[in-house]
Amino acid sequence: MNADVRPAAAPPRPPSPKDRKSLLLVDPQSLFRRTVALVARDLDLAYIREASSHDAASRLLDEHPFDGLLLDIEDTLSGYSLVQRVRTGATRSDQAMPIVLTAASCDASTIAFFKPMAVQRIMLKPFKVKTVLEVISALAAPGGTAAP
Amino acid sequence: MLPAPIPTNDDERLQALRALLILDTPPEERFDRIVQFAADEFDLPIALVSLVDRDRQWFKAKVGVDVCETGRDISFCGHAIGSNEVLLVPDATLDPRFADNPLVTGPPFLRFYAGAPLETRPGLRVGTLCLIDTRPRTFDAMDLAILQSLRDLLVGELLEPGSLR
Repeated sequence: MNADVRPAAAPPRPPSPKDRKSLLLVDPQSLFRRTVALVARDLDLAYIREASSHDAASRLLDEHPFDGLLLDIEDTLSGYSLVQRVRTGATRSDQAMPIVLTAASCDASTIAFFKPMAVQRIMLKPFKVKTVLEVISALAAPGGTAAP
Repeated sequence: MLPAPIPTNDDERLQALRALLILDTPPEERFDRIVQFAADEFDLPIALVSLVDRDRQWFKAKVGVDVCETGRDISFCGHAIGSNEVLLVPDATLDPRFADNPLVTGPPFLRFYAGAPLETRPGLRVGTLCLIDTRPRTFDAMDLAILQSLRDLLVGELLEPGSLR
């Protein structure tokens, strides 16, 4: 047997419904949101709850624990307030849960604003559904954080 | 070229299509944004909501083409409605069903085709959400899942207008 030939690594086991992670996706664009949620479910990447606004997201965070948050911060102050609620343990989720922000624009002041909140990543729009799904896949992996 | 086959339940299929009251209606933003979203997501020049009528395919929504219909016999979507699976043609010039199709040998010089059938009732597929490129390409599992999800949202919108609001 050739020493360089190694058995192929077993493909990653898809998570069972019991250990599938639950992520909250907050974005005003319904077509984007729905597509991400449907594909994540179909590919068994994660269970996605959707919110179209920060108010709706806040209610969901009060009612359910989540394993990760993908948050549009078009309204920066309201987004900051939501992140702050998570990080201070004011929701049912682990206050250290991974948080990924999405924004149409992002300057140094926005980064400085959110830096103390230990967000994993800021994604600039427009981006592909596929890119978001790759981030979700990373977040949903055991011990997952958003891929760089 | 293999002309688009006619399903055995075509009369029933056409009744389902006509019951939607959508043929030859003006463009609508709710469908236009789905095809634009698909074209942007996959970086493709052409995306269509194609409805397969008795002798033609008619485009309810379109990105990248000027015509509003073509003959059913030469349509790729006419083939796609034969199954509930996505019809994937990575390179039409290498596929005996399509290599000498006038849509391949002439404008728009189609090479890649992915068509997700729109099944509005069990077994009745009225058309497709389809993606077209003028270059060969491949689709991976995630691409397919994204196309199928957009198709599902489109079918929801066909059956229940406003479901995507």
